[in-house]
Amino acid sequence: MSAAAEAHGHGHAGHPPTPHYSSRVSPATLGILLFIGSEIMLFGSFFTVYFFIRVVNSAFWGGHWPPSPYQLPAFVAGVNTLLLVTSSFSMHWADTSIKKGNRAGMQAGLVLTFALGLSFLLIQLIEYSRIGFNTSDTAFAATFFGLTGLHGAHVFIGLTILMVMTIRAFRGHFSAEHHHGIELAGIYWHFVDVMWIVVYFTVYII
Amino acid sequence: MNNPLRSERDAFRMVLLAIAYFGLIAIGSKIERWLGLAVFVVLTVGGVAWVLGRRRREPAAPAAPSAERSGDLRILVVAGRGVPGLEGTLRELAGGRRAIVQVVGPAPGGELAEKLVALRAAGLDATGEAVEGDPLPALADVVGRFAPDEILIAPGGGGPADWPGPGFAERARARFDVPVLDMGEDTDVTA
Repeated sequence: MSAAAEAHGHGHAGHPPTPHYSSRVSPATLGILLFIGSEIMLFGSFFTVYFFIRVVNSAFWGGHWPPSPYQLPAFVAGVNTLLLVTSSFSMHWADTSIKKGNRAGMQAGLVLTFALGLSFLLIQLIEYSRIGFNTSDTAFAATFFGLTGLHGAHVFIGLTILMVMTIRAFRGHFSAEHHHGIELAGIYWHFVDVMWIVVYFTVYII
Repeated sequence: MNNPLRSERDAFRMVLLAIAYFGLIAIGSKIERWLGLAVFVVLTVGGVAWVLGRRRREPAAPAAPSAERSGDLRILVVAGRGVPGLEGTLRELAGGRRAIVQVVGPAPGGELAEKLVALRAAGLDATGEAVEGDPLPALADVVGRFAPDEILIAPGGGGPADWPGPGFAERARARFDVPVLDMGEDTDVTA
């Protein structure tokens, strides 16, 4: 069902009613929530594969994770985690700034978030080039690249969204009253951050 | 309970919670594998219990305005395409009280706008909303927001335009705890 239109006030009585949102959530917010819901299912399928491979092959690999002789660069990934978590703080700063009408704060927050996200992605690529194994080596390697690569793709999408929002921010498209684009970009960016926290702790730490 | 990703602020809070949750599990598992599992179980069960407890503690939705409190009568009209005598029926229902009318009609809203013009010209405080698809779920949403004292069903003139469709009054009575009056069957209230 969907309520398609509503008429407010006597002044509009002669015209077709204006759009109404019966779900009490704006279409844009509902869209990003549905999108994130589908993303959670996508990541869930990758995590299922990861844990299946890890548990099924545990005895074969002698209970070691990662299986010998592979090593995961937990320290570099930890630095990357720090970068991404910091970028969530700067994103939140951008959002709260524009809500208070502070455009300079929003612009600085967005630029900082973009720079931190880009650093994360570049470090991830450098890590891939030095890690010493490839996707076709073992099931472990395939799931490792699958999970971290899936997340990297999401960071790339998030950076694209952030770049658009940053350009719009510098063009003066957002104000204390109109900042929906920042809000939605922030939701997506935090989601990407949460997913990395899950990936980092399950793949690199535990 | 609110959707944890409904706003940027809520999503940011999720980031902090995720750091705390996985951080504690990681610390536990580094000390001892089984301690990590225990931390995971305790945090997960505790988190679920907190969420369920919070849901129970949340205050009930604010009481809807009603005729007893305000002296007004809130009437939700489900109006088909041809509704003769609607204004008179509404006045009869109101019985001298001020009637606040919300009209729900089929999309597109052109005919609904005309109905609103007629109701307002008759001195009624009327707003309107056009709906698509099955009118019953749409009506449920409007009932939640508008909190009517009465639902008045004024069906269309028959054929494909017979909106909201046969048996709608019975479905509405089964679903809502609000008196439902069908102008198509309760002929004594039609003007």
